[in-house]
Amino acid sequence: MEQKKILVVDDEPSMVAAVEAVLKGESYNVITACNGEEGLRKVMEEKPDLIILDVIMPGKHGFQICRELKADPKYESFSKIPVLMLTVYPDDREEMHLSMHEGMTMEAEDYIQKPFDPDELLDRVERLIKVTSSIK
Amino acid sequence: MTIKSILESMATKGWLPCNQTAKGRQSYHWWIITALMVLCTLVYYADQAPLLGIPQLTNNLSTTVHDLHRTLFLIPILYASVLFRVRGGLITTFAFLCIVLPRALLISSYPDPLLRPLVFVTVAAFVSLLIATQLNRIEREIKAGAESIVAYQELSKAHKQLKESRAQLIRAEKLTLLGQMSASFVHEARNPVSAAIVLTKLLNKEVCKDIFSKDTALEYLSKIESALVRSSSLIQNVLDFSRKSTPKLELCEINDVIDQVLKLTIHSAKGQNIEVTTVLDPSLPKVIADFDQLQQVYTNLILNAIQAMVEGGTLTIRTFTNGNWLKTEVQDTGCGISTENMHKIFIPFFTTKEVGKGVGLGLTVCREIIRYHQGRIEVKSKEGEGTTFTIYLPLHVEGDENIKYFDGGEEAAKFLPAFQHNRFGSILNK
Repeated sequence: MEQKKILVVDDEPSMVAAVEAVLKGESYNVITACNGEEGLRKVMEEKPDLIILDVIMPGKHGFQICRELKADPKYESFSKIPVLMLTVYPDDREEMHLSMHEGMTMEAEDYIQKPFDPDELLDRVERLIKVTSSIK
Repeated sequence: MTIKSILESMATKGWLPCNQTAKGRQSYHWWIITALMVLCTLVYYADQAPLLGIPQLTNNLSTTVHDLHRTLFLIPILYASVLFRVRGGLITTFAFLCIVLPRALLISSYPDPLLRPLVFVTVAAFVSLLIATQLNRIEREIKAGAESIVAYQELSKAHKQLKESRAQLIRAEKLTLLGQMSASFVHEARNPVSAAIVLTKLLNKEVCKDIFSKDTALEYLSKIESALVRSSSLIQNVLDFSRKSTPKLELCEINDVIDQVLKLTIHSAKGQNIEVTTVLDPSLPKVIADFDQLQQVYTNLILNAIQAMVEGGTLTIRTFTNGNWLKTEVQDTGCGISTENMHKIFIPFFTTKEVGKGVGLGLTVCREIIRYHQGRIEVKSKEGEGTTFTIYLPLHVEGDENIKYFDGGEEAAKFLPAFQHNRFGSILNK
């Protein structure tokens, strides 16, 4: 079975390290980016199987990146890549001027709240990748 | 030595008798004066000189003895004028006149019976009135001096209170700023902690399943440590900012102030698509300033800039020198300030923010702080294009240690020496 590639976008190095540690245990190929712009560039370059995206980052916030990826014609060939949103405390959404509903329907496939359980993250990742593989 | 100077030296030694006017007959002085007058009258009339015959010359020994008796009246007259001032002097002089006139007109054996007593009465009246008016004047001056000391004390008390409330205002505004940043702080401090929790859970899982290697465990632990150190340093930044500091002037690097402020405020810009650029002159000279207060000013300006760029934009911070000034520019590409609001922004309690997001004192406090540093703050703005705040701080002149806050304190202090070094200073300072 080929190794799945996962892009982790988060500005907090320790969080990237944590996600990386969890995923590497299951022998996923993990690539990282520290902000939205770099994330989008890496999506084009690496064409990952899954994107794990933080919400609060310098520059554009995670929801905005997700929306761009899914809606912008520039990223048309990548719009099917599943996105797992990280973070999202209820107050994050308020900070971003987003309602709960808007946050949930940002066309991200799933979201997980920090601090997550490693098994829970792996479950979600596995399920998302399985879904996309079956579509392919 | 004139009467005036004698009286003044008495006053400075605290010997000045009080004005007894109000007491009148209740005062024992009144009785002493009356007794002295009666005694002098008795001596004057008991004098047998006129019965000895008509003196040949007006300036011989026996007339001098008569004059001496008349002169004795000066004692109660001066006593009265010192204690009861003008009124006392006039009344006793009048009594003197009433006593000497009958003797002069009826039984005097002098060739010019009226002239001598009248000259005596006039001189006595003149001296007593002079003493009385001088004493009144000195008393008024002392009273005025005491009043101005009280006024000065009131003034310095008011000034101290003003200073205290200003410090409280600055502190209150600092806490407002802290409140504005709190959400992003909490997020920033929680993020590494979350990462540490995830790693701890992962380690726990691997230990339980007995599949871990020592190397992986150590790697996780070092990652956990660095996450916690990061979180701790973020919390430390907040604590440093929020601690209650006493105002103090020291040599400050403005670039350090800006760096410190950016560490705090940068999190508030996250997710707003804001690009932060700094153009800091590395050769900037140090300035004499209050680090904490300047930090508060820049935090305020930067947070305002971030709040003005809801749709994203660029925040540029520049430091450079220009003539005798060290200039700092905080420029944003946000919504700008309308021309009608432009002249109101420094007015206390003016705010365009929604209710609950600041009471409109931020810029007022900024301007006050910069003013204490003998600098100034300027603003340029165009609606829809952005705003630039420029802060001018005076450059420290080498060897000049006299730079201090401009807080109006020295204005009030100027009056103090005038009070302390006046003629009656020694009494007043008691």
